[in-house]
Amino acid sequence: MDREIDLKDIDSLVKRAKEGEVEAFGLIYDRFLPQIYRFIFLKVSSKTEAEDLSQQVFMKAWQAIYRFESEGAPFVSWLYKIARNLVIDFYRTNKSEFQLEENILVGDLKIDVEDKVFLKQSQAKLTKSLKELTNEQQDVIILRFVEDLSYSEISKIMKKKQPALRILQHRAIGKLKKILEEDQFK
Amino acid sequence: MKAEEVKNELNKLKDINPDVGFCSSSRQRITSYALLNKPQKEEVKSSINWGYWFQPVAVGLVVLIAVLGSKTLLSPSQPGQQIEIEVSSIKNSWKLADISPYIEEIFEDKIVEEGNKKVSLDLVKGNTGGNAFDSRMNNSVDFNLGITDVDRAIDSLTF
Repeated sequence: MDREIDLKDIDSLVKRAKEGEVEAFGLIYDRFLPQIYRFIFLKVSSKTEAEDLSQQVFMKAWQAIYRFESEGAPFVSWLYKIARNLVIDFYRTNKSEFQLEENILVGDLKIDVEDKVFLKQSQAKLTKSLKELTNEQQDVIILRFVEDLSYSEISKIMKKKQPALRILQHRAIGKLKKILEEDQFK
Repeated sequence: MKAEEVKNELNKLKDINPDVGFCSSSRQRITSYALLNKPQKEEVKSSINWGYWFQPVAVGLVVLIAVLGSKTLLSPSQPGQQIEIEVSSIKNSWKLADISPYIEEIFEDKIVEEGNKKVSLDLVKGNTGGNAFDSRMNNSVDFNLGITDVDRAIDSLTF
C-alpha cells in the first residue's frame, strides 16, 4: 500500500518535472540517488567513479525527461537503464584500466583502500566476487537481490524475457556460490 | 553453501549508500544544472525530403492516371454492359423456372392422351379399360408404344 502511494507521488513528481519544474526533479533525485548510486558502485567498485556516474545519470535524465513515457514500467526502471548504459560506456572508454571482453567483466578490479574503508569487509569481498560474473549476471543479481526489483521490472531494464532472466539468475547464483566457497578456503 | 545463503550474503550490499556530504553537494549541482539547462523539446524532423521525392512521385501518378483513364474510355467492354448481361442472365433463369410447370403440364397431357388411346384399343380387343391401363403403366415398354404399333392394332381390328 505504501509503495502504491509512493508510486503515485513519483508519478506526479515526474509529471511536474516534465513540465520543467526543477524542485520536483530535485525530489526525484533525493528519492532515487541511493539506489542508482549503489547499482553503479557495485558495477564499477569505485566511490569516486560511482559518484560521478550517478550525477551523470540524473543530468541525462533531466535532459530527456520530456521523452519519458511510463508504458507500465516505473520511473526508476528508466533511471536504471540510463545508469546501465553509462556503466557500459564507462568500461568502453576506460579499456586500459578495466577490461571488457565479450560482455564479460574480468574480475581483476582492485578495490582502493579508501573504498575498502567505505565498505565493510564482507561487502568488499562480495563486491569483488560480483566482478567475476558476466556483465548481465551482475545486473540481474544486483537488481533482483540488492534492489529487490521484480522480474518484470528487470526485464524492461535489461530488455530480456523473464524465463531468460530466471536462467541467467540461476547461473549467476551458482557461479557466485562457487566463488564464495572457493574464497572461504583461501 | 546453499543458494539461500548466497542471497542472504547479497542482502549485506543493501547497506551501501552514498555519503551524506556527496548527496547534498550533488543535489545542488543537479538543481543548478537543471535551472541552467531547461530541456528543450526537439522538433521532430521529417526524414522525408519532400522536395526530392515529390516531383518523380507526382509525375508517376499523373502518368498512371492518364494510362488508366485512356484504357477505361477506349475499352469496348464497359463495366456497365457487363452488369446488364449478368442481370439478364438472372432474368432468363427466372423466366425458365417460371414456365417450367406449364411445360410439364403440356407433356403430361400428351402422355395422358397416348394412354387413353391405348385404353380404347384394349377395350376394342375385349379387355377392361382399367386393367389394360394398369398393365400399360406397369410395362413402360408397352406404354411407350410408337405410332406404328397403334396403326398395327387398328389394322387388326379392320380384319
